[in-house]
Amino acid sequence: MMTMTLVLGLGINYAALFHQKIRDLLPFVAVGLVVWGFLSAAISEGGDAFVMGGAMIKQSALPLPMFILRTLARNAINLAHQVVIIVAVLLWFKIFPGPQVLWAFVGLALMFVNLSWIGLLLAMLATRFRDMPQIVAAILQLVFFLSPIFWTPTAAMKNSLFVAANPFYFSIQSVREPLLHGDMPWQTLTFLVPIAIVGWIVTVLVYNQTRRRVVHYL
Amino acid sequence: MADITVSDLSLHFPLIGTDTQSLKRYLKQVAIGGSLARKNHSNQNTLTALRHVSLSLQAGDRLGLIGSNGSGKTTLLRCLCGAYAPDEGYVEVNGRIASLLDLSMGIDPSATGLENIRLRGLVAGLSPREIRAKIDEIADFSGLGPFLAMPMKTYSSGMQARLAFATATSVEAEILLMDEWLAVGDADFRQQAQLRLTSLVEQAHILVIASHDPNMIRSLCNKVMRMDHGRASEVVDIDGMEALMARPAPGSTL
Repeated sequence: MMTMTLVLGLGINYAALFHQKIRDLLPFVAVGLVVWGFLSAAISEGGDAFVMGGAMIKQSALPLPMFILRTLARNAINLAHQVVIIVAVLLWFKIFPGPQVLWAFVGLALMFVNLSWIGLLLAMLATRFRDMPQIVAAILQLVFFLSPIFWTPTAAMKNSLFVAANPFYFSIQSVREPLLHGDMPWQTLTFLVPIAIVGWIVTVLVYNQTRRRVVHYL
Repeated sequence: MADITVSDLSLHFPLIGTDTQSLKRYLKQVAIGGSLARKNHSNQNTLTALRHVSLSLQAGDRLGLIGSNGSGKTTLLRCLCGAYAPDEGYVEVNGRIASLLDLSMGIDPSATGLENIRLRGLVAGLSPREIRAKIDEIADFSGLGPFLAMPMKTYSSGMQARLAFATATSVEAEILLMDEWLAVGDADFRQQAQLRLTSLVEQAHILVIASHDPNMIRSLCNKVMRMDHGRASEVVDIDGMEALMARPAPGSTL
């Protein structure tokens, strides 16, 4: 409901403000906001996962990554509910990209791979430094406004850092482009896959170092 | 067959005050070199909670842990259940563990009673099929009837304790870890709970219980071990408990 209101409000308002066609902007905003909602909630809740599950971690031998998977599963269920908004908007504007739309699942899968290491890394940091959740929330807020989520980048901005090297933007594009235009922009994959690989390597290294300490920091 | 081997186990806790829990403050200290920020001298100290603890238990052993507050009894129990990884030495536990350290572990207050039984069962390591097989019995024992369909947060604390108790004690385990004997509910429930707990203890191969009540230890255990400042005495027969308690603390001369 909240997301729907936001989609309509932002979509219609910004279309008027920037003299764009509603039928161009609204679907863009709809997918952007739904995916961003999932992305940001998964990151911030993932970061909180160990602190929240502290009581359990302190008394059982449950594997730590399970707590991250829990938050991801919860947010995936949430996302599944929000997909209704995307479907409604696509139907309303009669956007039917054909079977190519399945590329969106590749984008989504990649997003899970990336979100899981981000969540695990942040959760470990957040047990040691308790102001992490606030810092993460502030950064996410900033990213939300700076990234082309509810506004479309103009041609002149193609080289700006927030368009050309913004992993959040690429992540959203990897789901949004297949849905709206039926193609997967390859540069998003060449950007996101290395991030996933490097991110996981770093996270595994940190995890091996920190895993036994997490319970003491709680 | 269940057995527990603990060899030369030591555990150190980092002591972290709220001062050192802030990333902002930490970065500031790194950036300014720490000279301007007020320094907390207990920074990154560690507390040794267990020192070179060794013990080995076989099936049939009922071990009572005694010792003053802060002597490491609960920490040892948490090491046995796998929550704490040892810093030195090793812990080897064979057999299914049930830890009754905190009954409310894994309880979600906004979920209903039945959902919490499932949740708690999963946390305790039961498969969904095992939970389905037990759920009626648990629901029955808790005696909560129609309340089981309501969210846990609408329960009185006594009702919450009953459900938590019924769920936690439904797992047949080879190794049972307890921190003090459990007593929950009203007079009626208490009696049933005692029976249930006693039968749980009887079917377990190994029991490790920490308690401050010598009479209880005597009635439950056949072996006893005393903890003092993270050091463990040797495991002695229950008849030797008085002598063990009368002994001066091993760490007192240090």
